Amino acid sequence: MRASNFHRLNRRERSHLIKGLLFISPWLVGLLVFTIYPFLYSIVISFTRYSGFLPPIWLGWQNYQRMFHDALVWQSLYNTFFYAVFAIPLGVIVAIILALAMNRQLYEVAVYRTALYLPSILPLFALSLVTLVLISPQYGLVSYVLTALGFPQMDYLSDQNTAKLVIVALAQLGAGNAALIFLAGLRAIPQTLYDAARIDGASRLRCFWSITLPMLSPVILYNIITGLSAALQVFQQAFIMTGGGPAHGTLFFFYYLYNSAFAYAQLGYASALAVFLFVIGVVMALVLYAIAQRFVNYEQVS
Amino acid sequence: MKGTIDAPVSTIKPKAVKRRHIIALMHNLAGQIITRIFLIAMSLLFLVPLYWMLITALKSTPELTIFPPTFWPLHIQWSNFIQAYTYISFGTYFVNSVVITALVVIGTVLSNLVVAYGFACIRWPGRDQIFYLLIATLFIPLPIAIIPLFDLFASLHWINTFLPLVVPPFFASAFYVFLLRQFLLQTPYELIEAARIDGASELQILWRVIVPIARPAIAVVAIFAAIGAWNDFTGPLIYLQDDSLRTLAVGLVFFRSTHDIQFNLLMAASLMSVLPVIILFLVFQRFFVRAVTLGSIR
Amino acid sequence: MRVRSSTARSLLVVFLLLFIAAPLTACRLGRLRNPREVVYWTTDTSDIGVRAEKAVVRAFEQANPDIHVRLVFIPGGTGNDTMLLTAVRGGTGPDVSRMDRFEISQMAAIGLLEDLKPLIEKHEPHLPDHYLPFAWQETLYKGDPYALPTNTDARALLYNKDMLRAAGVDPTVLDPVHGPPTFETIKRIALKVNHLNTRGSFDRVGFIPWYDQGFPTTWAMAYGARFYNLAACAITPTEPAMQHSLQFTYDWTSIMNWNQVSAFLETFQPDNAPPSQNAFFSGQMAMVAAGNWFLQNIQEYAPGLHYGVTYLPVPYASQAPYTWSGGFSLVMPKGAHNIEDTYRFMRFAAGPEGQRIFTRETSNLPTWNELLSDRSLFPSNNAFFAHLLKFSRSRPPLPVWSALWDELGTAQERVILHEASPERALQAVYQQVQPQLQQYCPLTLTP
Repeated sequence: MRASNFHRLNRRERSHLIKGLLFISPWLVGLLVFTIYPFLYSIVISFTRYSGFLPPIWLGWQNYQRMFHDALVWQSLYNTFFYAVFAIPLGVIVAIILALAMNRQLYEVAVYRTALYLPSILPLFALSLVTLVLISPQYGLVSYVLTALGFPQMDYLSDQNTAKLVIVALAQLGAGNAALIFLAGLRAIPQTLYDAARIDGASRLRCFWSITLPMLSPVILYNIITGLSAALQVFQQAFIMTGGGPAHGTLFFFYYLYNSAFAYAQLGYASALAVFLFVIGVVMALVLYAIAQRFVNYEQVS
Repeated sequence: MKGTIDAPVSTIKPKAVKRRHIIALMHNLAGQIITRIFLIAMSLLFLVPLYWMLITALKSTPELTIFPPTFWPLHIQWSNFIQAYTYISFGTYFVNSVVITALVVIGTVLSNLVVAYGFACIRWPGRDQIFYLLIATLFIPLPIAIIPLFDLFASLHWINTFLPLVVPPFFASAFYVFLLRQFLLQTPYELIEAARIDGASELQILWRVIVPIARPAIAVVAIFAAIGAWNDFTGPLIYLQDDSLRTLAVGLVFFRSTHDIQFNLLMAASLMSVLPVIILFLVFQRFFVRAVTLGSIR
Repeated sequence: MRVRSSTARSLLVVFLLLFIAAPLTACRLGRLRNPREVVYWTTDTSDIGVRAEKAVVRAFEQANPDIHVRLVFIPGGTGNDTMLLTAVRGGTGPDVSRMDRFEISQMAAIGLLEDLKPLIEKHEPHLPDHYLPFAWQETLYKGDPYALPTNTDARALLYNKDMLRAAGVDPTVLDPVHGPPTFETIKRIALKVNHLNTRGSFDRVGFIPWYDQGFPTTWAMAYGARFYNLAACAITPTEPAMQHSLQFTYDWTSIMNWNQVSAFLETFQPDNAPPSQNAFFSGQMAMVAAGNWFLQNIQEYAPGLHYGVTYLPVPYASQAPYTWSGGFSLVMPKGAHNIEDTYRFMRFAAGPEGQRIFTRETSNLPTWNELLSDRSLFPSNNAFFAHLLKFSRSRPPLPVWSALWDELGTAQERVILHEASPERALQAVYQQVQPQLQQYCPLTLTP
């Protein structure tokens, strides 16, 4: 608000403005201190070599050049996207299927809801630890079942791809949360749409593709966005279960960032990585937005 | 989706109608049975980790290495829980988690309520533009902030205290403000205006008019803030150094890497860490469902 | 304000109590510190290590009753000093910490450590003369010492005589009097010992080249690796010696691949295993490249084991024996509080008194010259390791060993997983680590 505009307001508006700003002041201060300041600081530091102990030394674009040639950057990006490409669609599909099932007017649906939702709020560190027990090659339940089905006995955390898949599978326990959101979305679709389609002779499958999915598209988009945001920051499971291995197979981008900053004390380089991650996030958001324009249907049928 | 098809009006022969009716009912029954089986199977699958945590926690150490794995402990060893408690500094980690969670909840509820009130219940020029700014900040992810924040807290000598984890929630967060604002906007503005005319201050309006109405939404925010703080791993990992300050999340993981610990004890400790969340969920179930509907208001 | 239900009221009371309690818990622990206290962080968290550290601290406190040493055990692996870095940056670091010697120049370069030169010159200018030369070299960065060496070690090949006999191999073949065995010999023996169970997994193996001390560096030393080129200020991971080392592990995967080995280790020595659960002690693995500290473990957990010790295997017959030595040291991080008392403790623990205790407890080798000639410290097999020191090399003190070590390990893993050829994997190491070394050029190292 410019000073001149301020004076143009009447007394009431002015008092409301002051009160409004006062009330949102915690957020404004937080924005400044915890969002804007770190953002700018990160950008500045990304152009330096800084260990945290000695004063920063200006490097210009060197960190970014190094990043471009750094095989671990590409490896960790690959790992992160591998995870995203498997976990996000799988999560959405599982959640939709669960929601469709729970939408079916079964009177004990609350029981299923509880069972499916509960794992999504359990702490990830506990789930990671129990996963270690479950996939133990010799004594784990998962190994037992898979070897009974004919798969070879192996240590799933010792292969780069299966290790990532273990983490993808672990993430699916959070599908219960998304399923409930989809369920709410399903229940919001007016029955009249289906009735009209049925009169026109549409099959169940046709109803699904032409009515259900389009009406769910905003929720699907929301899930993809939140899923992507979470996928770009996946870290905990790898830290606890694999330490980034084997051969950096589960070194996700954020894990590499963490290591660069806190294990190798290369804060300048880590900041460059953070800036890069931010840019990727923004690009993905824009891409999703463009896709959303085409596919997502926000019209509500009255 | 409704179960029965409305039978068309009478001009068709009754026998054919009845047969179609029966076939439709059978389709439906089959569908219901398949759906039930599917849901039961999925529910069991999702509960496997929790179940396995429980039975592993109750097994004796030799039983951990039996093949094929037993689905129920041969001898239930309740002492594992006690041993986990004494062998690991469980009590310390637990208290730390509780204190941090409580403070985070207080800070979150207070600050977000106040800020949401500012965005929803006072009409002031520029409000909506600044709100769009708030939405934009939802897209700035954590990674870009951890390094500068660490330096900031280091210069304040806050490292190795609870403060870096507990103070930021007192400054509101875009996500909860968004949620609460959606809810608060549903209060009729006339009610608020009337209270203003009666001479109430904004804080009084907040406390007397808004809070009673917004209790469910506040409860949702409190519950999710609590769960978020209880489950938080990265924050305590970075800011808490001393073992005596660690929360359950990092405490258990670090304990595992500095001491030899058998999986049954570790699972017992994990189970005890998970129990508060489960209890919270079972007691406040309806709020979780409410949260979903709150969240899906676009 | 009327609060309706009693549960809500009690919740309110609880919250208020916690709210009051919070500022108390947020108090910085530092404010309550005893001024004559020395905080010592160590990553030596094995049962044996814990006993040794406590013994050294106890002895120091007895000799210096007015100083209290607070011993803190923290997690860490080779090259992982995250906790130390974070703590010192946050102003809550220790006064003295144990650190692997090969990381010192790197940690000194980023400014983490205090230069000890002023303290040494003030108290005891001839201190360096008492230490093994290669150990002292490792503490230097730009000519100044940043640490005091404590122990050193050496690697050798241990073999289980009973397992060899059971497989039809005469253990005397490996006796050190014949000199170092060749890779071929080891492979032949391993093939005889390897045994698959009914489910197609190994339940007995002869040798795993990438297990325990089978680092890529170890085998590279066998081929005479140099690791760096001073004039070019570059690391040389693609040198022939290193490639041969990775090729050796690659060739071994034709006998047993990564999956089989991982499954074997997961069964007989999983990550979480207590120290007594070791594939070598329990008679599942016949030969292992291990360090001298392993002897103490055997004595603790498998005293009945019939084993022998010989030189590490070599690629070519009649090659001279070799081994390499690492070891730890004590450093004083920036921000240490009680400098004089801390130095006194460091001098004790890294001096003859502390090293004597440590050597006795852990079968490690001391770096204090005078102690090396004391026979009583090296019973039986330990004497062999002491003898090995004269064939030993140490890793050159490059300021990038943390990253280099990690990357070489990764390269070895990739080769074993058949994900990359030795040459490609090592080129990746060069591309990854050389830019980091570049920052320190020109290097001032005495080779």
